[in-house]
Amino acid sequence: MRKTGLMGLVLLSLGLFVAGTWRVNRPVVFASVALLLGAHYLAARPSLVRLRRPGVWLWPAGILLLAGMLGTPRDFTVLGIPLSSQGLLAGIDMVGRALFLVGLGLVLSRALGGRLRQHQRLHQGFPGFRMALATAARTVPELGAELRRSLPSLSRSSRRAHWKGFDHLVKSMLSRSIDLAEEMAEGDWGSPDCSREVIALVCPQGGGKTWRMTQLADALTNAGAPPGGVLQPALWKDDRKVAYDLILLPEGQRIPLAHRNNHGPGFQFVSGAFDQAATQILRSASEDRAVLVDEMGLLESEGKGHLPAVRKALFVPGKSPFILAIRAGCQEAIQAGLGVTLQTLTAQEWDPQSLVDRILPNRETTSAPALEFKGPEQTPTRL
Amino acid sequence: MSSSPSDILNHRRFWAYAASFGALWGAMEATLGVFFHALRLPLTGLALSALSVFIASAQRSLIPRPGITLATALIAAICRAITPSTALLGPLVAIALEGALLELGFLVLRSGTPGAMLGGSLAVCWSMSQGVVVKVLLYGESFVDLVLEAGKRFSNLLGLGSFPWTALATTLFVPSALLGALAGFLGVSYGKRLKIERERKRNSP
Repeated sequence: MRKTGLMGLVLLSLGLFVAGTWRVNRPVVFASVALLLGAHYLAARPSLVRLRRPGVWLWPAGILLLAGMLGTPRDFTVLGIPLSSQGLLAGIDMVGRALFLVGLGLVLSRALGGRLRQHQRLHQGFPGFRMALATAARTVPELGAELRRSLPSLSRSSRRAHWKGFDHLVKSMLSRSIDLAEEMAEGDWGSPDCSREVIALVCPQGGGKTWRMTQLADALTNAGAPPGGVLQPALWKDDRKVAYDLILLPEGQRIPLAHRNNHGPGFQFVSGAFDQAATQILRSASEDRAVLVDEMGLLESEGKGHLPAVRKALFVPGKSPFILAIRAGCQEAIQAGLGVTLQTLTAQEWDPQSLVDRILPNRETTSAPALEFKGPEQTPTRL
Repeated sequence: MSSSPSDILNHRRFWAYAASFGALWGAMEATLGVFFHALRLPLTGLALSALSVFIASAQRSLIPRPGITLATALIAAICRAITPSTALLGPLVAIALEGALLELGFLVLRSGTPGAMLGGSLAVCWSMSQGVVVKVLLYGESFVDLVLEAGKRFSNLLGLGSFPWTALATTLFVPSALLGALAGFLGVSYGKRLKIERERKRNSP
């Protein structure tokens, strides 16, 4: 209500100003200026302090005086100075116009500033200009403080030391900006775009995450919307996990991810496998497919494995959801690492058909071939 | 939307550099700018625009992507405009136009030293003339008549034939253009130096 009233006042004063200038009616012009300044007072009381500064009035006073002195004919005298009434009137017109435009600028800049701050709060996580602006606005105080801290280093004794200090200051400020940019480019942008749904299937180790995710991938493929992302089936030999593979969706290409370490406990990862997975996850997100990521566990809870790729992919504009298979006990760390709220489903709540209905509300069933994959709960694959 | 992962990463990199250098530019305007203006130092605008040209040229030599200078300037302008107690359109317009002129220089002569020098000259000259342009916009065309009349009277007072407008413009704009070109040149060379140093550090064992 207040905003509408304010906008109405600004528009009214604008109309009056245009009409007054067009008809050369000074009282109307000055009424428009008064109205606008009143509107400005309503919008931003503190900035009216500006009007108390002498600098604000020096220019208009100078212009008025000059116009009076330089105009012709000089038809009256003030304090012994011959002045022109025509010149003074022209000066009044100029000052009125300037006051109006400055007032308009003050109102607009205050309104825009408020709107931008509001946008910053609402759209944290939007990639592109708004996101960059929000990040920059958060970074300005930090860089400003660093600049203020570094300035005293310039006051060195000799000229050479002074220039060295200056060179150091410039280089350190630029380096800091590059570091910040690289950090941001690698993913530290605050909360990502939350317009995508992020569903998490939380199961204990060996609880059938891969099998259930494969069911969902099949159901989505049959519904005519082949998902993207990665599946991570384990390979078994004599009831013992000996390796992990990656299945890149939607193509179904299979690549090795890790094999049991021959010289110690745990698994040894194949070089470049996570990079390939990251590429696939990002590509799937950019193609706006439902993105399946199996699995996110201990490695991801430490910010490694698939987590950086998923975090980056969440920034990619799109509507399709992410479905993550998360090992029980790791969901809180992974949620914190991703910076989004997970919609958690347990193994009992997992129903691929209802998920397909949720992901594709207006689907038309087609008979696409299902993925050929056998999980650990069925026949052990390979080896 | 069907962009490749490398497109997405490049897009992120573009905005990351725009945000970071926009913040640096905005911080410089909000700290040094406010400080210089408070001290009422002469030619503050000229010094600030030369520093802006330096920052933008260094950034352009680090990431020579078309449009990044303009994006950075817009971010810096908004950062400066929403800095508490300085919510004015003046610096916003000045920074945005400096960015646009720098971008123009880079578009015409590519993202190297010549582009930075041309763009820098234009940007610093703009900061020099912004005061006059803004006053013409504020006070209208009568202001031009007033200034011309004042110049005529002043030259009559000094016994000169006509007011030396050309000499005045040359005295004001040539040093400004040279300062802008120097800032652009230094910015590019600092950017290149930093790039080499960082690559060397990355490659060292």
